[in-house]
Amino acid sequence: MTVLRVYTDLVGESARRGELPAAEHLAALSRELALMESLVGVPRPAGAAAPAPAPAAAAGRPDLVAILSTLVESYRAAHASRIRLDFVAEEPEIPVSAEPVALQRAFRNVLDNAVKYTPAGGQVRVRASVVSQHAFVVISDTGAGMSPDEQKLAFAPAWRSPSAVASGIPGRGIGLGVTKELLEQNGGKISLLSEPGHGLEVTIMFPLGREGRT
Amino acid sequence: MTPRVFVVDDDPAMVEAVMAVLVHDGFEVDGASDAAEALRIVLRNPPDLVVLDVNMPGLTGWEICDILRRQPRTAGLPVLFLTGRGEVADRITAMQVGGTDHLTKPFRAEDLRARARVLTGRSATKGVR
Repeated sequence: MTVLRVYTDLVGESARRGELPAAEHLAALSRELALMESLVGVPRPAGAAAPAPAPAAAAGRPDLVAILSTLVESYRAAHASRIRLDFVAEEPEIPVSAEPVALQRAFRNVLDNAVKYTPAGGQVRVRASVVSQHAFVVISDTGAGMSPDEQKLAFAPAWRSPSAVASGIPGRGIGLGVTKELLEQNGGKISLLSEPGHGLEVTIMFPLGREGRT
Repeated sequence: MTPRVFVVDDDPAMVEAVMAVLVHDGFEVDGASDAAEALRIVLRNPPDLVVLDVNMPGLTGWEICDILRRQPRTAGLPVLFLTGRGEVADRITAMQVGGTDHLTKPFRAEDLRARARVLTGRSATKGVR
């Protein structure tokens, strides 16, 4: 809500100065509203690009398909000129028992990193599926990938000692530890698969919503 | 010289929103949604102001502020806490770890901008844009 409030303020200030609102502020407002709609199950206007909200969202079981679709759409709008972003959902909806805001933060963290570390002309793919009563989300990129040593450190708690920080030793600082914590607090699991030079594949797994698929 | 502000919040959308408020007001703004990465950047190249979320997984804003206060280069760095925590006890903790100011979410863009100006030593005579 705070993000919505901030961009509403900025658009209002533009209007008071007699100026058109900045396109990026309107885009951010639209993105946040779409995300909120996907979280709370508000029907979208006809013609909107994202799919209709899942009934599961209204029942307190956020739909991974709706959340990921909205997120990928917003990242695509921002980065389409540089990289390709694809989203494939193998089910029309995938409800899970998880806190929706934590979900979108976790997915944003992973997508941020995938986009950040994918060079121009590369690709980020998001695939959501259901296997044996579990939801799987695989986010893969064509970036530099991670060495086995980096993968071991990737989930270390988001903490570096002041001496390590002061030493200036570079790290990816990609916050996968934070993402892991957010996911595990919500019953999810995360794992990595990568070879240096061949991109990174992040797999996130959740048990399906308690009432199963609708 | 353009004041530099660094924004830290585990929600990337919040980092972008705060940056959007300040960047058009003459600030040079950067940010991070990973607390450890943010701490490393701020220690390496201290800005003129840190806008810091409190409730982050892994490393809280309070812990970051406490670490900054113990380092000579960042001991006097202004820190504006930006948080959903509005309780008196939380405000006291913010002061105890050396926070300079405190703004509770949801906040108004004008309020954030005014505090950033004061904390970076800029006058408010230009008025709110």
